[in-house]
Amino acid sequence: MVARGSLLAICALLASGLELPAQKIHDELLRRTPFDLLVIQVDEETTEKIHIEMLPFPDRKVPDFKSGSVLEVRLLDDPDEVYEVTWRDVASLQLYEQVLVGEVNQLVAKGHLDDAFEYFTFIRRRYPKAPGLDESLERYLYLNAMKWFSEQRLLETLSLLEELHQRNPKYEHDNSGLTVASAIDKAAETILNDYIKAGSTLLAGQMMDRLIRTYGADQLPSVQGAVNQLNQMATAKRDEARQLMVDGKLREAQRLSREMLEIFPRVAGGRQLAVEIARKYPLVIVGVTERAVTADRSRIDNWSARRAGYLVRRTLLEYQGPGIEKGEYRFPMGNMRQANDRRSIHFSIKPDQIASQFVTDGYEVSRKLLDMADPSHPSYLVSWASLFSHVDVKDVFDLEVHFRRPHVLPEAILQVYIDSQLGVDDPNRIDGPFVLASEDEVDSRYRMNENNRFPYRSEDPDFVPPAEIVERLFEDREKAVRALKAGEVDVLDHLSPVEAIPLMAEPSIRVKPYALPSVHMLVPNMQRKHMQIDLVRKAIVFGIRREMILHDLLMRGHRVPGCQLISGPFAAGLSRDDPLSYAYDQTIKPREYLPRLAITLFKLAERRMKEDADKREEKFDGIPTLVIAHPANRIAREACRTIEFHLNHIKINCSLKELPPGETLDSSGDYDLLYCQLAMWEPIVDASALLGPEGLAMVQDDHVNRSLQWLEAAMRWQEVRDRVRSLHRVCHDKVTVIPLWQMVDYYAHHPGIQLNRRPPVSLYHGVQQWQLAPSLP
Amino acid sequence: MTESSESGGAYSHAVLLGERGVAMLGSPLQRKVLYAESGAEGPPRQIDLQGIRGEMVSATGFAGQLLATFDEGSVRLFELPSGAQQVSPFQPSLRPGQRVGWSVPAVHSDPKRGFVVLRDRQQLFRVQIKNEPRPHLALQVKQELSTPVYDVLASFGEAVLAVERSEGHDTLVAFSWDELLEIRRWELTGRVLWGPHRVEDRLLLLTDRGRLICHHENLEVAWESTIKSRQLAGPPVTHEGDFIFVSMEGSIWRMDGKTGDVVATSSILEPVIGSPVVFSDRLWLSGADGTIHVVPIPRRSGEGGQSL
Repeated sequence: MVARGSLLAICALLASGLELPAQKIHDELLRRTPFDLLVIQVDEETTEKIHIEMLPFPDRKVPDFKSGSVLEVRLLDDPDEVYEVTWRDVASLQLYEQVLVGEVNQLVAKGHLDDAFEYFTFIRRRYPKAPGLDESLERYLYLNAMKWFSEQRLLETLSLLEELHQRNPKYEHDNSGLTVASAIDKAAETILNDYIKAGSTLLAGQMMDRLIRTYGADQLPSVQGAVNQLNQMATAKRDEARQLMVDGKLREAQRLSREMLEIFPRVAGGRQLAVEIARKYPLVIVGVTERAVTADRSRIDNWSARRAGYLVRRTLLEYQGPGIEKGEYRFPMGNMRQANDRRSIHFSIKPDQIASQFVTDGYEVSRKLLDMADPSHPSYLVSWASLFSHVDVKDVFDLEVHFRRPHVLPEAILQVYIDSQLGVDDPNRIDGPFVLASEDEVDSRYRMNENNRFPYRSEDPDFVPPAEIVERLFEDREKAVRALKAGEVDVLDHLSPVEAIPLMAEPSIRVKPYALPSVHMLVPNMQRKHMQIDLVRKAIVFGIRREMILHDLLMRGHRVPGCQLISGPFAAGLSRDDPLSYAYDQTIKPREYLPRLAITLFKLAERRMKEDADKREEKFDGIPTLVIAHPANRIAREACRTIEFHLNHIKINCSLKELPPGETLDSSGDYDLLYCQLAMWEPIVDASALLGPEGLAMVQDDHVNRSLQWLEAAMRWQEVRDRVRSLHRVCHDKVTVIPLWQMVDYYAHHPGIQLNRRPPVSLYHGVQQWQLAPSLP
Repeated sequence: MTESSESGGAYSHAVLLGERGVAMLGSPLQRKVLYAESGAEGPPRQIDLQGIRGEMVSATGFAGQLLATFDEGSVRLFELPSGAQQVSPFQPSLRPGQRVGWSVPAVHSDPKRGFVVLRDRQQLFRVQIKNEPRPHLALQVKQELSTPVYDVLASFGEAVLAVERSEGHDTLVAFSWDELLEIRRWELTGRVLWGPHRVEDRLLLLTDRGRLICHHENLEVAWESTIKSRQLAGPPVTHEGDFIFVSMEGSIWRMDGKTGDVVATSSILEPVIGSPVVFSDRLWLSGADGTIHVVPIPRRSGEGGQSL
């Protein structure tokens, strides 16, 4: 009689003034056998309540019975017997969902609001169409909001009231004349006044702006006082900013104008002043901790090179970020469309999208594509040559590019520099939106490029893009964060989750994730004989406490979706259905930390090497101390120090080698393992860039190379998925690289400057659309 | 019999650009042409042809400009004397590393009707200047030929003519100008050595049997004649209704335009290349060594000129 027990417990709860723990209520409701409540009119004065099994009415609606109709029911306690009840004997019939709504109403009436919440959760999930549920829930929300308001839980109060408003904007509580709109007005007024009193004018401004946009100023009469107050404050900032501008103190004027707009965006003349200041001072200061020693957007291994590369170079096709099925690419010269059979791509050049001095046509682009398939040409690309068949130019600006076989993502191969001959030492040929103007130990100044190949044209007459970007180098992230908070820098690049999370609480700073996580791994130096032995590489994997390093050291206990251990060279995506994860075989779990196995494997490897040396009558003194090279940044440094500790602890001797600032590769070759933070955005092409014989890891393994070739030959998406996951499996089995984890990376900026509308893949992705005087929301 | 000689340098092939002037071309790799403008004083100018790649395969005059084909696959129109391309090129389908063999484009007598050019002896393209989206040489019609033809085309009235190689002999084939569809064919005796070439309102070709065949504009054969030389320096020039031919050995002969009868001959006894030009009542010939020979025009018998 479980059902009877649950029923009793709930009845006891309803009768008592006690509250049960939330989980217990939920469990009781789950355990309870649903029933309908039939009330029989025994005689004129007597009725009897009977719990019966739920009646199978269509849509659970009681039909319009005639008095002579007969109802077949089964008692809850005796389900084997079918009883017939004449409808004229039925005093009432309550369906189970109505019973539940009645019970939750009782809880609300008794003030058991937390218990009622569990009830509502249950009913909404199981019986969302229960009669009277909506009214009951609205009443509950209002009463709960009032309770919290009396407890000074003001933000929670507002949140509940906003939910109620969303459900029923005309809600009036028990015909009392008290409406949800008036309650929101009251709660908002209290919150705004508290903010202003506490000096949190930015928060007050943001909240007020949102409320007015959502509900309209006429719905919030009490808020008007706070509005006036903020308006006065913003007016003062406006006047001060204007004076500073007149005095030529443009940086200060810019800071104040941004604060002005944050406090009260609609302050009279505010936007015009902000635009005027932005035009006079179109400069953005970007805080960085890794200087770009080279500008190359194709570098999957070098964050800062990639960042600067987006400023100065353009490519034929440009990656925009992950799409629904595959990566999205843009043809900056115009439009492109892949044929349904994936055997061709149609390019349509739009001359009005290209700067007049660079206007090109289909003939020139076709020449570039032909050159890329010509082994004697410097821009020759093997993957393109194996795919490309022929090209037709139509009507000057249209091209039809045909392939030898279907290809799922030819766009990825065509991420090549438009001007392959362009040298960074020749600023006149730089075709990106910015060009490096000067550089000292702290600042790298990029000015707007007169030879920008694809100038951005905005329809907004007040659009003010940056004319100059200064990358300011900070010794460490803490100083950079302080500078951002102090308004000394406008944007801060490359924050780890533990650096980003505290900043998210700052009302005057926006923190946003990049579109794609970075993949961290140790890449073995296959030129070293001992690193060619898979037992050594496996010993290293088993000997590193990766879980601890990631969660305790790098994440400091924070759990962030997308930050996780990985089992192969590709990103696992931010979720299982993330398109980026198409390369990642979720069934392959990261190897555990097994130090004893690591020791055994390492010794076994040494023994084999010794036997081989003996056969060749050579001397073998054991595997030398492993040198782990790593870039000079905090994440790499902390991770590698801990890896060194773990491996030394199990007698796999290693030492660290920090690369010069900005460098991510060690051209000397004097290392055994290289710590890499990779941008594996498009596995179908990045797999080669990492694992190919000419790739970062210079893998000579036949099995891996055959898997790569097999992947490149894939014609359909399912084949790509199968083959790239097969490559993941091969790399996992052979420990081709030592996978560590993937991390979500962030950037932060002041709201006075509007950056990318969609998550960027690199900081300056879409830099031409940065707006120094954002339009009013 | 040379009247005067001038050093011609490395330019060997003259292309008439209508009434505007003459372009002299050099080796296929040369990026310059020598341009002599009609009526302009001073020596011819060296002009850089801009924006070209590969080797020049053939060239002709078209709408007063220089129309040239290149082995990298394009057909380009150069405005002289600037050497610039005001009209975007024609470029049919191309494969990586492909080297294209072109005929000399056959230009319609009305330049607005464009030209026909043959690629790799198998594909015929009719091309016209189209102004939208910007001036370019636009493909109008393409025809794949079932049998390869020699890479010499002649535009003639509303037809374009080519020579097809058949077993034991050649065949002259006429294609309609608009659709490039075959409209007529003539089985010839022997192989075609020279031609077909349009010379004003006639079409001429020479076979290895020494037969010089002349067609009317209605494509009917006007006359056939036999000549001794098998190596013509180039198409003849017309003068007073007659054709003046020059052989590569330097022989000159004049044929009656209506009957094909030889009416006068002479010789400069020097190797000659290219077509003769009549200018200032003189015959101008390009010597194989770059010398330009200026000689009197052979006169018909009885006119007091030189005799056979």
